[in-house]
Amino acid sequence: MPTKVDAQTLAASLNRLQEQPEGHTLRGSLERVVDACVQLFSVTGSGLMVADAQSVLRYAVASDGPGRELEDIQLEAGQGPCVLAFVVDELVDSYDAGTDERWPAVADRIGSLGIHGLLGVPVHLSGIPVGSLDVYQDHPYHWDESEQRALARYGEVVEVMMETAVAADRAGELAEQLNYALDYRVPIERGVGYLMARDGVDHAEAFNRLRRAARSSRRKIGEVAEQLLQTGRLPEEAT
Amino acid sequence: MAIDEQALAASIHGLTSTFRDYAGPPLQAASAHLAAVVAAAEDLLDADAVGIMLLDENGTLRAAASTSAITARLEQAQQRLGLGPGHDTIARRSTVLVENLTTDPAYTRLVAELTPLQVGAVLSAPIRVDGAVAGNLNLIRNTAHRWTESETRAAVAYAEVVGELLGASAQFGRARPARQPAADGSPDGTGGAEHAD
Repeated sequence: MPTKVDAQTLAASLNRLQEQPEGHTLRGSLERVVDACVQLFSVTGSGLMVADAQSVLRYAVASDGPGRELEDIQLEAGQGPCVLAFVVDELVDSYDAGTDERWPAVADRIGSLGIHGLLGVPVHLSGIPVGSLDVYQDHPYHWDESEQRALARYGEVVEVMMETAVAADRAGELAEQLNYALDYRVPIERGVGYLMARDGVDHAEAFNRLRRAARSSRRKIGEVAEQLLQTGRLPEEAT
Repeated sequence: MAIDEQALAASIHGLTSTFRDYAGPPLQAASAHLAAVVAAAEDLLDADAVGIMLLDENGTLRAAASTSAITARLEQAQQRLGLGPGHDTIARRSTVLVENLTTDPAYTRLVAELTPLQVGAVLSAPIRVDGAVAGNLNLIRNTAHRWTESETRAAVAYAEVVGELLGASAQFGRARPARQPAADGSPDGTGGAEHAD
């Protein structure tokens, strides 16, 4: 049976809740989902990284100190399990992130944080990857298929929460930044579609070409997409 | 919980949202989002069915969402009788664990109302918004089951996520202009919306 929601009951509840003072921020909502993630998966810690305008993955929230440092290390080196999940737009699992050869520049540092078994999933908004969610154990750990499916499922919950919280958070600076994102969502999607057709690549690879071009040219990904649509070329491509 | 507010603010540049672009009533989006989260709970919390009951403006507990006919019947029966695990959760402001609803003497009237439907174990966790109880998340097992500590912790944590979602939805609704009720009497013209999993 499809999930059924009684809209009138929901409306009555929301009307009641609207009498309470505003206090829901995107940050607070993300903290809540990351904290819940630790309980749901019985893991040592969890964190969420979110991409900026140049599509560089940055620290957002973490359930504990090592989780925060894990995100900082990956931001600094530009590689690691969360970066990989975001870049390839697929689930990444690691028996021991502290010895994993897929991120040689940071594996030792990750291990020294006491982070070992690690699972990461990409997080999307409007179909575009915008970040990655990870959970980890303080010992090497084999993630079974049911755990992988469950984290991917929880990633969908995180996406729902992000959409709602982004819309609800009307703080000045944040609202301005979101307006930027809204302005450029359409050209980014069209730019990805253009690269898919032009270069014969899939959605993930097309998006990565766009984000790499934004990073290397130190420009916002939306602006790079607009240029691509106007000229048919990415910034680094010869005329 | 460690937070880098500057980093997060910077990272928001990349966020996009169909919700912000959404031209229809916020209630439809809130309804779809709630349905998605309730449906996911069934998988994530290893339940045979999941439901949500919410308090309305008058403080009446009403059936709000369900993933199965059994959950819907259970919640509607609780709403009619004014008793059940969901009501106890609201009254006690804490999680209620029922190992076997059918044999629990506290719920004899409720079980009679449900017959011939069989419900085994029930876990009802309070949904809090800004610290105040706003409803409950109900997990159903078809057979008797002793809820473990980790299952209970997970359900409580998930109920907090649902509360956060409802709080953000209410806040978003405040930002949107009020709409007139639709011709069918429902606030958004949907009456009650079904959402595919």
